[in-house]
Amino acid sequence: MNVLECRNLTKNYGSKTALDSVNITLESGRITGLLGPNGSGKTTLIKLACRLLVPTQGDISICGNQPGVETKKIVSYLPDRNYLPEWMNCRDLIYLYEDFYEDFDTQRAVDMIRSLNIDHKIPMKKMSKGTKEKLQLILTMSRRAKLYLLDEPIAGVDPAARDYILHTILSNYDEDASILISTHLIADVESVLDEAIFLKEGKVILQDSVDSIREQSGKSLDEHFREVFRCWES
Amino acid sequence: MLGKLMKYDLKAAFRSFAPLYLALLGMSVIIGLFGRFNAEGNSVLAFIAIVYGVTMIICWVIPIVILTLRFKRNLLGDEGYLSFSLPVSTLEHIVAKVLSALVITVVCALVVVLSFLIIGLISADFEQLRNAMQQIMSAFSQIFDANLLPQIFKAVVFSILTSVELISQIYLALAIGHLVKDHETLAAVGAFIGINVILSLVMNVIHLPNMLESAGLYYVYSIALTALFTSLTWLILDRNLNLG
Amino acid sequence: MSWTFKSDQPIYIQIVERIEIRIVKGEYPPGSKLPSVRELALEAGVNPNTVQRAYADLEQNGFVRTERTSGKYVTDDAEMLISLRKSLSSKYIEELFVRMTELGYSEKEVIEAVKAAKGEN
Repeated sequence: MNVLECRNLTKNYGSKTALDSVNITLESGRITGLLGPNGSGKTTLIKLACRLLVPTQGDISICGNQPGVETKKIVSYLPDRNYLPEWMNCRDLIYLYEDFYEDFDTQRAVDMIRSLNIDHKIPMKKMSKGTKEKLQLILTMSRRAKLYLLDEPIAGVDPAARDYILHTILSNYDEDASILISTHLIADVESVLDEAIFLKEGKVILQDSVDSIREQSGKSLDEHFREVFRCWES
Repeated sequence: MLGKLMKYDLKAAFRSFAPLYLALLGMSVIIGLFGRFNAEGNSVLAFIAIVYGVTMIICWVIPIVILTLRFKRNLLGDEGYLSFSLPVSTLEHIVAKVLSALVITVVCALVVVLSFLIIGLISADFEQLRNAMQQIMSAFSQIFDANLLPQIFKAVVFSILTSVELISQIYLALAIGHLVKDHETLAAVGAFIGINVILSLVMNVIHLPNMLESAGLYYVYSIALTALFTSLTWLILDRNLNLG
Repeated sequence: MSWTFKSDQPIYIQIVERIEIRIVKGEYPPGSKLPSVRELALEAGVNPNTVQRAYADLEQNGFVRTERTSGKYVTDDAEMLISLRKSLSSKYIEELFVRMTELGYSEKEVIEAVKAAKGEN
């Protein structure tokens, strides 16, 4: 079954169209890049899948269900901002995830937090920006979810942190789960992707496997992306 | 899930309240001691009266402020990204917020009573205390005779219900404000005033009888308004959530 | 940390080549067990499916065989290994010729240049 399916998915904010008749399917067991410049609709698409937004038109379904309580049980979402309560420390956060998510693997989270040497007792607000981001990723990837939606997980991080993040993603997802990673930093994620979706001004202009894009264009995904999105053309 | 949501709401709220409660109870002890050892003098009494007044205001205003901030931060701010991706319906979120407000209001009321008791118990010496106890006992019997207790009970229930109604009205105003991008707070204030205007217009049409005579009617009115505000908040946030 | 990849070729093909080199060099000796898909994916910093595809490719060419339960093994067929070594070497020589031809060298000149370069060392 398709993990995520969008049919003619459209989202307007007032008169502005953020997503325009998007058709996408994600199969299980694949890592897909949701690629496009800022403002191309990446975050809007992910928010629709999390039911943080309601579509203006069209359908979106996750494992056959419309976004809602049932899909939230199987979707692990990493927003593109600090979304955890600042007053909580690692222990509070682990309890929170344990309380609400049946698929949360506490041991895994504890092990990863331990390997980062984060003090269990200090609250989020006293952690560095980098530590917060890693902690958020750890919590997100410690769920045994069917679909991971990672919104800009590597924006604004240094190369070492980027390697840590990609390694954490690769080492924690189950083989039958799917991952959707949104980013505009294609070169950094290129080697981990199975598939790529190019979004431009709210429209899907390409969905294909990364191998076939490389074979057909004779270029890396990043180079192909730059060509498609050349500023002076649009 | 409702219980779990409330657990976190109450935890977050009491984290903010704990210092206030402790300060309040600590102040009660000091005032009590003050009263005991400097028993005479109008200036002292005046001071105590002022502190009582301030305490009362704090105890009714701060919870409302904190609940307002909690709603805004937990559902409509960045934390909303976490809250709304939990496997919980929007309705459960809103109901949890209203019920948490109810619990907090009751606890605040109890703390105020406790602080009065502390002041009373400490400031009185043993002889006075015994007299006071006797007075209280006789007062109780009078109350039972005069059916005053049910009246007090009615007033307390009424004030708790109105507090919760007020808080659910604030939640609705915040939800309406959320619809207006870039001017959320201003819009929320406007919405709050707007709801009040509508309510007073309605009240002009339907004249409710005296509160103490028909408390039940007031309860129903207050609960109905709370339910109405809650449902509207739910409808707005369920369909039109758009976290910035 | 993770491997670097050329941009103009599918990543799985580049992984195939890395594994072939390791086999020829004896890093993965004949008959030995290869790292699991997940291990190699983490080492290379790539998607497990990509490694899976590379292994499938190697298997199709007979350099790798699958034991149903225990994973992937390097073939112990000596002839296969010799032919793998040959095919890698002829690929590199082909590359050399392509590049040198671009610089205007004739085949003969290329061979002379190689000899001269080795002689200098």
